[in-house]
Amino acid sequence: MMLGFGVLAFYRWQQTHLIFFLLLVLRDFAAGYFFLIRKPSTTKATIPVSIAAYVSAAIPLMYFQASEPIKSLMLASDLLAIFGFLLVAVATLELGESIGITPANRGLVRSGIYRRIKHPMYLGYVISEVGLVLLNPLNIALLAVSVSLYIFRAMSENKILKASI
Amino acid sequence: MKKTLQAIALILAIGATVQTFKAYANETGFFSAEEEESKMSLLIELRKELSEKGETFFLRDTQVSAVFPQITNSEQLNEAVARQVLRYIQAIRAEDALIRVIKQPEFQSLRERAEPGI
Repeated sequence: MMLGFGVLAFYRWQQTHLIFFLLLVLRDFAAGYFFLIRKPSTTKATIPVSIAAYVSAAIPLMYFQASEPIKSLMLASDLLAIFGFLLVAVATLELGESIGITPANRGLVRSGIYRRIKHPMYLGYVISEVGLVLLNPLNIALLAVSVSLYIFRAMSENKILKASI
Repeated sequence: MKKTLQAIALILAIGATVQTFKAYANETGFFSAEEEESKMSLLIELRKELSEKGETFFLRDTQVSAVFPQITNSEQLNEAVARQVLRYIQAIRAEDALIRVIKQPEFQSLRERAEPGI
């Protein structure tokens, strides 16, 4: 699936020549590759937690488009998206084979960006989703649900990883 | 390898930021309606000349080349026309009208081609 998103991002780059899409290509192909070669998990989340994780992963695709395009807000939204996805890309590359959607123990990563931020990938997603709220105020409801689910996922991951230490 | 890819991600993010600021500056810059109108007329003239003389006609040999040095073939001319129409719309402050109009059913094919995938 991530490789499919990578192909779509490449297609969007070809159409628009927006460098942002190349960042998505890098992130999606890296994530796709790591999903293929990732380590087996030693501890897995329960089914309800896994469902919550998949819902959380799908929410960014549900945001509403810009209601009334105001240029300064579009600029702010674009900058937040770039910074957010830079965090996501760096975190994906740091996680490597430990990557996963549902909380699981595939080895604790404490290097690179994970030395400073506990859940940089979720932070990156939240930053980019805040940009979508600037474009359409209706998105605030989705952001509230999304942030709650990221916190829930982060807490579940902490619990699983703590139990295995 | 990991560090190299992270450095590439950082370079891409910086590039994307610069591109975003440039696009914003271009979009919010001042456009004179008269100036954009005269460029539009030149492009229409060029288009007429091209359809009369055919593909063998060299766009570089015309007066317009000084105004639009980037145009060397018919595809580039089409792109310049599309760009100029949008610049003119910006100059006369008709962006909101454009967005409303493009959502009408008669322009559905344009929307679908502009926004495929996610």
